[in-house]
Amino acid sequence: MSTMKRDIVSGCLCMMLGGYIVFKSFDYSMGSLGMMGPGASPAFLGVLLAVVGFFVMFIRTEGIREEVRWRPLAMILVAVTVFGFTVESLGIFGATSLIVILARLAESKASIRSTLALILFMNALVYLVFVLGLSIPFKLNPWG
Amino acid sequence: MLMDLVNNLLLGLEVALSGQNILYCLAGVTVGMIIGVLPGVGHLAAISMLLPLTFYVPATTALVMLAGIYYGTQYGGSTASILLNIPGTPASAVVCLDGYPMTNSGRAGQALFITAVASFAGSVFAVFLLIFFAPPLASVALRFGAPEYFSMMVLGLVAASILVQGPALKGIASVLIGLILGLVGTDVTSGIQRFSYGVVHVYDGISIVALAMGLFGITEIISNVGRVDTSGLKAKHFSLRNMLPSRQEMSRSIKPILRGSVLGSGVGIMPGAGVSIASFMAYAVEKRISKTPEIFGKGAVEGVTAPESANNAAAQAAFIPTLTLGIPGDAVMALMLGALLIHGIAPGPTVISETPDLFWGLVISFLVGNLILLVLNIPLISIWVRILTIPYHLLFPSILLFIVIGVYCINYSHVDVFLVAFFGAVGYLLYLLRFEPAPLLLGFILGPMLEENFRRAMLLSRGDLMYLVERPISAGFLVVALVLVAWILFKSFWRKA
Repeated sequence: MSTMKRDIVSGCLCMMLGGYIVFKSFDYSMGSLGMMGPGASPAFLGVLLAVVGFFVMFIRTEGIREEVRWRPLAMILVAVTVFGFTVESLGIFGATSLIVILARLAESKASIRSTLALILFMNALVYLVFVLGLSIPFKLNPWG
Repeated sequence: MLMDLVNNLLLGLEVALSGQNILYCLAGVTVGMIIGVLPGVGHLAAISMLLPLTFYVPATTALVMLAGIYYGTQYGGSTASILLNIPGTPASAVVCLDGYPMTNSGRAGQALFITAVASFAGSVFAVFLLIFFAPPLASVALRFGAPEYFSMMVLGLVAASILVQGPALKGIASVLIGLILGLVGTDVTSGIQRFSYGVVHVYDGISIVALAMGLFGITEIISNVGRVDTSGLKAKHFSLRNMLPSRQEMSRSIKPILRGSVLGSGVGIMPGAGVSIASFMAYAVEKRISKTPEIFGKGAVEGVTAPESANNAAAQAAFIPTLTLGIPGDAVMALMLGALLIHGIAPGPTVISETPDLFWGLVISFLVGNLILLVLNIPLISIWVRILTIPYHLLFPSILLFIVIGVYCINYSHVDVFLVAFFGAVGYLLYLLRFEPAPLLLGFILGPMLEENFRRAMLLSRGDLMYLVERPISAGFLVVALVLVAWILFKSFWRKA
């Protein structure tokens, strides 16, 4: 993304978010200045963000351009989400193993052997620190 | 007055030297040291990772550990800079300039030793400032009412957005996004749900841990995976004998250390100015006033000691506004306030008077922690160097796991884990668009307090905005904030027009 496009995108996003917040704030009562309702602050902040966003479109941020790193982005987010889905169904060891495998896939050169070693190591660590040490009531296996 | 101080310090000693607090202090500074040494792992990620762990201990112990991580990283950060020309933390980037040339000319040991001494001196200087100036500042702030608080926070937020890297306008946008995120949840005055979209887990507001871990932890991992490569490094062996600097190097360092400490403390007290700014400024000052500016960049010992004492002083001085006014200077301090809030302590000028054991215990623990760091740093240097060689591809899955387990343990809720993923994605988008996440976190923490104080002020004055400028202190804060905003606009657009 070129630096120019970057600031135009940034500004537009700020204006959109600000506009949405203002729009949504009308769901709440505005009140008066002496007795402010819950809608007053969001309305004000939304307007301010939209105005700042407008000006942001015209600045030129210096600095190197940054390509979107799709693979790490996708894999790390998937890994976290899968942990969230599995920690209560598969139990902590299953979820730990899955997150390690998925996180390793964020890199292309992950070897199977080191991944297996890391899974064993992390499971042992989780057992020692969180289950035995801090006695956090994790579900341990899918059946228990 | 003097008796009070002695009594308070004795109280602090008692608290700081209790078994549990010493243990957590040791744990904190050790973790900080390791995090500081490791490139690609920032202290914000580390502190937010360990925030959930501190729910299980008293507030004082929690802060002792979190603070230990923070100033511990300042020590550790310079190690990687000096030995390998890789800054472990942004603040230690400037130490590369002269630290690495010292290594190349065979003076690595001396550089590390004198850095540890400079760091220690800077920290201790700022801790004494904290001891002498925090209590009177807090008692002044005790007289502040809602308008003063509101205006002070506005000034803090404006200053925080101006001092970020990159354009200040984007800093302001970050602050505003943070303020908006702070709105989510129950409105305290009316009890109405705002922007919660029926998600029960955010009715009490977005979890600060989930937000911080997403913004700092996950984003950092995504942008570092496959990039941070430390596989080519070899652990060198160091012994204490070849580490002692010459007497000439020592005496040449005294003044730079003093200047660095003073400058760093000043920068640290200012809201928004982080430790990186302190070390860069200290380096620039030394180079300018030096009689031999040509040796800078070629292994000048002043170029190592001044910035190191400055960033450590700044790290400690940052606690002054945080603990006396409840105004965090940077994102780390915002997390500290978050920890206080989690333990049910309202940040502000009452912290010192109502929980003296917390304040004085924390202050004394800074001295204890810095002493531990000074003692640990030098003899264990071979271990720190070995830690540097842990490959990142084994490190990041472990960090990720600690993040998700940490956030899950707060409420045993998998929704919090999803929130981390969500804020990780948001954080990466902000990173791509070059929005700084630190002002966002600051806005998020201060948002609810800002709104409450403004409402209260308006209630008192029956909706008269002039009330904010009729009170001189409040007016002063607002005028400075206004000048800063005008300066931002001027700087952003004047040159191009």
